[in-house]
Amino acid sequence: MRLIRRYGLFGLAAAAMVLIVVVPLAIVVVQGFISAQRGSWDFTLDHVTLVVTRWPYWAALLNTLAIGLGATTFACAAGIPMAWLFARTNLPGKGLLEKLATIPIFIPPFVGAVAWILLAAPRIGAFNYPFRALMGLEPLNVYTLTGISWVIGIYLAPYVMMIVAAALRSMDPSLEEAAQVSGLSRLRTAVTVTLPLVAPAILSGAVLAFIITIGLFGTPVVIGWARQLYFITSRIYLASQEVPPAFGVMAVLAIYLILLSLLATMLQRWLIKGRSFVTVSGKGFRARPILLGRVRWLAAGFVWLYCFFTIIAPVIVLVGAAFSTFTWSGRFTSENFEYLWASRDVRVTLQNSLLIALIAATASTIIGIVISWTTQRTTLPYRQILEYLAVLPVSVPGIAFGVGVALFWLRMPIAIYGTIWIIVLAFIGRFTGYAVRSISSSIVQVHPELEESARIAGYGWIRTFIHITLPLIRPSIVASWMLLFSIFITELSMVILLYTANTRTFSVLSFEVWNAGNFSQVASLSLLQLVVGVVVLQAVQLLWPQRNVHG
Amino acid sequence: MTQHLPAKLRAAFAAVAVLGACLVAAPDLARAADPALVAAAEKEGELVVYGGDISETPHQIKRFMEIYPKIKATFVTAGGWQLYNRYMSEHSAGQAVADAFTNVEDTLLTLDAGGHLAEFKSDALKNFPSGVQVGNFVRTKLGYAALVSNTSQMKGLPVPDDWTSFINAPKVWEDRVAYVDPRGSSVAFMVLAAMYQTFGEEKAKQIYTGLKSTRPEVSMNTPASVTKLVSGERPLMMYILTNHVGDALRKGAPLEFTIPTSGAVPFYFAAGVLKNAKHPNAARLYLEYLLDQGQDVIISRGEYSMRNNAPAPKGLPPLDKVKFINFDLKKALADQKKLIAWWQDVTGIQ
Repeated sequence: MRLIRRYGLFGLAAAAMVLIVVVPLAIVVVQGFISAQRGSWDFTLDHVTLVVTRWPYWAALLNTLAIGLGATTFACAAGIPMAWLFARTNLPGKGLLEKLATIPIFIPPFVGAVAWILLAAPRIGAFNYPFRALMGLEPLNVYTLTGISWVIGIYLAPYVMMIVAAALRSMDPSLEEAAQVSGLSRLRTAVTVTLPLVAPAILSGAVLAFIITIGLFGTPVVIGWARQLYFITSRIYLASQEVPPAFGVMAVLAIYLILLSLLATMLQRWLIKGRSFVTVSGKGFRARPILLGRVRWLAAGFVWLYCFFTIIAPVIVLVGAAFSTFTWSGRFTSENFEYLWASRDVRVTLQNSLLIALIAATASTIIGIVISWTTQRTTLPYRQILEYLAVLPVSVPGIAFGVGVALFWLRMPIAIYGTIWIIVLAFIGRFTGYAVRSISSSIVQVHPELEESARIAGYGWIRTFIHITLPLIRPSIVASWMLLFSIFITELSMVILLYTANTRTFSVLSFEVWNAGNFSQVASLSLLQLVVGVVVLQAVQLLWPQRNVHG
Repeated sequence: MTQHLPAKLRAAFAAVAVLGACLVAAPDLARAADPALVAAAEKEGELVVYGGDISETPHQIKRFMEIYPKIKATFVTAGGWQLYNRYMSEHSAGQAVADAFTNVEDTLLTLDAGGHLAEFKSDALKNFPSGVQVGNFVRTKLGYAALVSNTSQMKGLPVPDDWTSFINAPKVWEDRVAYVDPRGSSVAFMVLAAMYQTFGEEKAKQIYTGLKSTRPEVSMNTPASVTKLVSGERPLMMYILTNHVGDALRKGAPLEFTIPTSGAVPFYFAAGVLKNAKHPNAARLYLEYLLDQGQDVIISRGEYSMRNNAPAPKGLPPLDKVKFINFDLKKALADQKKLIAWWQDVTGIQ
């Protein structure tokens, strides 16, 4: 009985992770080493040999690494300063700016990519017009590794921003105040005191951005394919197009991404190993904003510029396209908006998407809390395995993980295939690692003395968790839920394999319409998706207001 | 500081905000076909279509449900071979969900050869030319691939009048041409096969080498190129399909469709009932519908109906004025891997 009490939750979580993570992943990996010819399965190294000895696969790996590092750099360069400005300073209009800066996560990646083609493509890019008119030059070209990194990076910046801002909000600012009292400038305080203290969150955000990028399908394919810039996910897609699909090659390429993800995670652990990041102790605090002086207008300008690049300019393009009969036609129509109200497809797919995203985001967040707490706050042997299992599939491209999930549930006697539950399980399996990363970095900051005091006062561990730990890590829980919801509402690469006729989602509908060449209708669908995202974001922020410093 | 609302009000607001986005459905209308088939299909009450014609399938399903509101019709659209792979995975696991399959006939030929299609005969075929029935499936519409240019972007510039025009591509076509990757598109592969079979290996090689000299965009699918053609980013396309250009022309896009002097590459869209369909009567009714009211949908969308005496779409020539290339689809399918490898070798695209 004591054993069950001690290991019950751990065992349950471990069993769930095995079912929804290990088995689909194992199915994918095993495909890399078997040959299923003539009805029998034989061990083979043919797929590995093929991938390792051919230059196109090495080029895909190098391209993937290049955009992984590039996009992470852009995401951190925009996301970290914004997090600090929103959580710590008297930035003018920061309530509105923070909401605006979060909106890009509701723009489906492939729509952002198409919008940026219209903004920065050589012949028709709107940003190239003034340069062409004045100097006869077209300096911007989205069809490059830098262009692709930029488009991915700016849309990942809110993820970094949310994770870092959550950590900053949980942090006692007395250390910063002490630094300023000691004569450090605001900038030096931020760089030498604040940033190192939230290093786990920054590393979490950076690793997350890197991992999302290397596993991303839509943007690299929409922009890169046109100029023969292939990435690992593009190669996996090409292998999936063969008849029958080249599962072996897909598996080996998926293993590349798993290894890259593991390397990034290990690097993150190594960098923070042996250092203490506790900044939330038993002492209460009331944060005061850092006064930026006149620089605050410059800082606001930076955030507005970010919003211009990620929302304002793309939304102008989308609104223009949605009111046009076809792209850049100069002929206007309300047909594409009428379609939103008249179409049964829009209603049904939106219902499916909301239902799936709400269920999966909530379940993933709860599992993320359980795993983070177990690994950070218990002494159970092998508890780290849970975290590794959760994080493992994060970098596996959706298309590969989706294959594993589909092959597994197709052969199970339980009727999951063809229902929304297969998508929900796939989302939980692949994305719970995001919640674990964000929530773990927050729990690390909470000094155990707070929980120990509660236990001494007679609280059981559940009450301690609910009344002490949970309120302290709430910002990161809310941020995790929002992050997961935004991913689930726009996710395509896995859903495209797992949906069936009754479970089409809104992103599938957008992709179908894009596939049919109707960008004006895609634009109207994307605008609706943005509105839905903003409504949900607003509802969550009303329910669980963020702790902001006054300014 | 944010004002805290009472808990119930907050919960109510959240529920309204989230669920407010979830709306309800409701179509109507009614019309009849063979009463016994309609009754049997309505008894089944459901229909699942796997549709490779991404732009048309939603319109056909919508119209079908207007006529037969008691049948809940749903669909999955994707590239033809993606759908084929999906069907085969489901079928091998005993969890096939599709009742009817529609696509360019390459996949239908493969499905039929594998014994996956149920027998289908229809009285409606008397309204169509002979040759519409192929094995166990029916051809539902004709399309063809031809050359196309954006007239506002190519004003005053030379445009190709034949496939062979690309052999000596003028310098001004550089960075203006797009075509589609035959690894990801059925029709791009058919065009490649038609070039190879019609002009022979050497001349086909010259065509694709000439194309390469224009620094073309090689899109993953046709619609991706159409978007760029219409916007003017890539104002010349080596080929476009009638089922894509029809809609753009109807909306007034500045496109000029040119039938190559050697001939356009024809292809048929087709439909079949899957042998293990859970709703076989609904699937049969859907095929009957495609041969009847579905043809009206095809015409209204600016495409070539297969029905006798059907009008040509607006902006496109009547079929008897179109010269077609003769090519052997079955042979092309048999040589698929070899042809793709040849194309990769010629273009350097791996």
